[in-house]
Amino acid sequence: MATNFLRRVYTSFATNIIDVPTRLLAFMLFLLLIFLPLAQLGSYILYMLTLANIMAIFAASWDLLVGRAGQISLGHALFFGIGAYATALLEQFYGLPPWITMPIALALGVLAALLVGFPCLRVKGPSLALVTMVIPLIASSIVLLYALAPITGGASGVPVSSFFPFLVISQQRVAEYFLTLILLLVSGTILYKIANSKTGIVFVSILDDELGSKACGINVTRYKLLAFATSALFATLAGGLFAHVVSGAGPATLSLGYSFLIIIITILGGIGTIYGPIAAAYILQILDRYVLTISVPVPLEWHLLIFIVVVVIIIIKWPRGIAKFVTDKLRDLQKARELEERGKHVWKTYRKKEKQPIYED
Amino acid sequence: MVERFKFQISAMCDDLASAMIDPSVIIVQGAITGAIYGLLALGFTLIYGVARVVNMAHGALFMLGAYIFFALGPLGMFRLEVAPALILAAISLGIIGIIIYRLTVHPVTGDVLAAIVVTVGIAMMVQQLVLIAFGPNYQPVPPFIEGAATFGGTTVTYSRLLAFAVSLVLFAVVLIFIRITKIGSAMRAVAQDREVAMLMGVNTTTLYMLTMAISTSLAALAGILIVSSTTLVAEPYMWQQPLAISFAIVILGGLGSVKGSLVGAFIVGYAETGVAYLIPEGGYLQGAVALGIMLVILLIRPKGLFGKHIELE
Amino acid sequence: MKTKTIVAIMLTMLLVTMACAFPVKANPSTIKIGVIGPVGWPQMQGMTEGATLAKEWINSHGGIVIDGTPYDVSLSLGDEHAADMRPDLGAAEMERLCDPTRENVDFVVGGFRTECVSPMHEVSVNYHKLFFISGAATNQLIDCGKFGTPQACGKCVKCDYNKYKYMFRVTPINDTMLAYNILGFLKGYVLPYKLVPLYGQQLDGDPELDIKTAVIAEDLDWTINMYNMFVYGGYLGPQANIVYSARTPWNALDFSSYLDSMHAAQVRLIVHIFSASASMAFISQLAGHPLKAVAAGIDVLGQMSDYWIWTGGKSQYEAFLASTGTRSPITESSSPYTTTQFWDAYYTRFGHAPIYTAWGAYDAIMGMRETLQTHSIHPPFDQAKTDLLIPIVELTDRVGTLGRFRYTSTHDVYSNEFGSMWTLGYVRAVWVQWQAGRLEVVWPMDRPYSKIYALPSVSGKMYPYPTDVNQEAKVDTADISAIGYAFGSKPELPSVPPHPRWQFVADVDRNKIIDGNDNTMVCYDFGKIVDPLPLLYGNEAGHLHS
Repeated sequence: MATNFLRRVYTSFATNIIDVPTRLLAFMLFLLLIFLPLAQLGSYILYMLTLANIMAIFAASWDLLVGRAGQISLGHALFFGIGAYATALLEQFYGLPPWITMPIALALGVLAALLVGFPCLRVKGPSLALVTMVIPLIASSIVLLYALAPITGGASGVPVSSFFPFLVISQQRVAEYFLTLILLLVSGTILYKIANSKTGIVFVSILDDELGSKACGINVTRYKLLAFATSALFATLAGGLFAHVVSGAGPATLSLGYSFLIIIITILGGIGTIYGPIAAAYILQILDRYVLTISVPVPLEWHLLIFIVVVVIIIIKWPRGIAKFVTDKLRDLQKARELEERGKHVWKTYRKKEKQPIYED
Repeated sequence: MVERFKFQISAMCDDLASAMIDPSVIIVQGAITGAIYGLLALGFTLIYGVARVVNMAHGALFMLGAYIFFALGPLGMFRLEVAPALILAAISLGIIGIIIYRLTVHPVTGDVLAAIVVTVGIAMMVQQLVLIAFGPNYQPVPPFIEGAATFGGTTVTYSRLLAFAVSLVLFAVVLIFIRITKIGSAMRAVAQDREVAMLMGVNTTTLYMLTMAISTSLAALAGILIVSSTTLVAEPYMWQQPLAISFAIVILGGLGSVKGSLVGAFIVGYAETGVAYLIPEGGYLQGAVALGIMLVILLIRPKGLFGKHIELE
Repeated sequence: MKTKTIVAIMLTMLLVTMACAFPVKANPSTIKIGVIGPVGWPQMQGMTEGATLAKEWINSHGGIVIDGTPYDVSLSLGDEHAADMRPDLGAAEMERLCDPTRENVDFVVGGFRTECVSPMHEVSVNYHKLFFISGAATNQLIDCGKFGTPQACGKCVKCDYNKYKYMFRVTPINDTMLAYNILGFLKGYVLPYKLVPLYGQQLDGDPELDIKTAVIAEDLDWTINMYNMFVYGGYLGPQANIVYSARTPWNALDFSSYLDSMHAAQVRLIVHIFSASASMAFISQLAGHPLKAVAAGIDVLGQMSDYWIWTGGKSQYEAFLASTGTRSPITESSSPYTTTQFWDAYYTRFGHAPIYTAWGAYDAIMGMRETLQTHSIHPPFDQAKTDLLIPIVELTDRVGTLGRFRYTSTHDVYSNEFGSMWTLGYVRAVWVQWQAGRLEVVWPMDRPYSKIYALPSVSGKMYPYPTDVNQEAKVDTADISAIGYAFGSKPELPSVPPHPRWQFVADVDRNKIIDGNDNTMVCYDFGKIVDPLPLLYGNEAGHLHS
């Protein structure tokens, strides 16, 4: 019984993952990430990757909204900031532990998405982009209002305690790394599944031709709000994790910096793919924090310049994104190999036939 | 903390109630602020209307104009006079605009998001280059004319009056240019329908580059005039605020409408001046009110006040 | 793909990553100091340059000698990422500095923007590294309870000593003491001795003479306490009648509405509180406005030596708090550099004047050097050694470049004076005024480098009687002797020491030299008085007569 079950698991694993080169690549990378802490790389690298995990969740959520449902949002940092501030303020004023504040923050994020989504329903394209860009600016102004500073902490922000205050710093970083990695896996899978489900197909149809979708009887409003809400859920999750990992929530979380960061990550990785932004989050983080800081120590003022130049060049060269480029190449290789194997099979069959006499007498 | 909140709100209401309100302040200052903001948004509207490019580097080019003027002008390295420095700065920024367009925006034509990312990248590159070249300290951009004039209860510096006048003149020039000249008609044609314009023999790429040059020159002029009449210094991080203001104005007025930008700029200018004058303790309320007005108008009229499904008018 | 290939690739990846493992870096012969600040803002430039000056001096003078073993000093720079608003990257940079497998610094100096310093100090505290804050002013990090937040934050030295005892602040002085310094000068001198005698009126049915005052602050949280104290708490005293108060966005461009309202309200004293570049716009627009008032408050950027150039000289007469004036010889007994020697060395090395973060970084490193040289604790400083160091650092009481320095019980800068005398000598905020291109110290008044505070005079200004040198409403022998004392002096360039006898107010014709011409002008008006008093708003000229 058990061996039968295991064999079935293995077969489904082999067919679904090992035989599909793109998924195999993803699986191998995932294994690498899981076993990475064994390599004793030090807390700095683990911290760097933890931040990459958080940005990956954030970017993947944006990808769902923009790459699949077509609602260009330049102000996604709004939900990021709501997640960070919600968990920070709930902890500061009510002393609640993270496993209670995080779900509440998620609920608040979804609520905000619905509130913000309603006015955004009426505008399209660049107007939508610009409207979504100014909404976090309004939120920033509210947070900075001097009347509310005793609550929101003003420009200094709110300090937050870590998820694992009882651990030593090196172990803390490992624990945070695994926590964010698992949440990334879960979020990534859920987002990917949504993107490739029936709902995902409806999103894409809204992206392609909104009027046509309406004509087909799709309730576009409902699906747009659903896209906003789902995307906001994961963005808020990323924000909450951020607040605890960075030990603080401040007005920077609402700023354009984070909105633009995920746009860059997503475009780099391949918009619409969900896995693209996740890969690109890692690539950019390693480029920024490791290559430019440690391997090739660049003077601090030049750091950002070189980073941006590299990013812009990559985007111009590969407008469909790096991950898409890689997966396309892998698919091409797979097709080429299939053709070659089929060719070999044809040749073998031909050769077998050749060895037999043509005439039976 | 709820008491504190109530206290601050009542303090602001007291401000409003007890203010000795002199309408000449709001009328005059609002108009001047509005015109100056309009100058800022003009280039942005043009490039969007014609080439459909959301130029996130607009604020950075504004800043670059101020820096180049500083470097060329009497306080910088080249020590030219004010007028030639101004003209040279505008021209050089036009050339830089063309280079930026050809190298980075043209390859990603059609992809709205890639254009946004690329222009944001350009903005950050300009920021870092300016930081490396000029250092983190501020660089002075002094006003062209000293002195001030008094209108009723308010005083306006000649420098701001100059910016006001130049802004209105430039708006008029652009509007006339679009109406009367052949190139202007070509711009309007491309703004309406790109493919048909191409069929009619308009070379869109050249036109886009020309529009970019005009847009960036206008940004440079705006930068020099506005910095010399208000903040007086150029610093590497000052590009985000003008960008945000341009956006708000352009959304309010309708993307691609030059007339709309002027009206939107006046609305935003009056809103900010009104709040600053009537509620002095309001602080960021100024910006929030302006943005709030923009949102409300968008809810009522999603295309903006004069947006006509993107026509350059 | 074949199973063998998969396993081979995975093993290779694992081996490669394990080969990249980094052992703990040991720097047995150097003391590594981390310097972390907002790259892209001048504050970081100051920190780096001050630290570099300290490092170069130490390394060229035998290093830090602990128990006979010399240790060189090296610096590791980190970016707080305050300029691009990425506190996560700032925390990552602090992680990089503190991580034993990375930079592994022995202690850290710096920190400016509180939003970024908050995550950074959590990191440094978790690694048990000393962090000397040189730039962040808010109380939140050291001694919470700002804005009357009811609950303690639990994340500062005061609330959780055992965890946060690694934090120390060397500069600037906390905002409560800054507020007292403001009150000391305004309540103790400007209002009673300068403004009330000339402009005091009976307002609001109050028999005492008052001055109409305005308070304008930028709308950031560090100004809240002070703003509330002055506007709603009445701390400015009975002689200040607050008729207008405003909070401006920190990036405000145009102050016309505020200035026009102040003009309509006829204010004479403006208490301005700014830290961002908007202050330049405010001061220049104030200078060009018909408003006849003095600005005296806080202007963080005003301390910078280029401020005069940035405002085109319009910051003349502006007074504000600073840590020092232009090359003021605050102390002669700090070692190895006295105040002026530090200034000169800095100016020679870097070509511009030091800002307050530079003084702080330098003093922090020199202070640690003295501490380490008198105790036998060798680097690298892990948790055990740092814990031994902390009680020693707490007892620091040395003469720094800005005065005597010690820490309070919550590791903040100890500052206890705000009056007209500076007797005890512990660091304090001084009032400075821009006069003829130099920042002159006008309070405390008992220092040899202190100058007389000047109301804006010369025609068209608030007090257009330059011949009344000491601004007492009469031209008499006191004015003549003031000129006599300052005779022949000139205001020096900012890079050289102030002339000990120069007085800006004695230069009656404002031609930057005190000569017979000034004397003649005073003699011409000798015996005249300013009458009638008080000088009414907009009607100040033409009252000087015999």
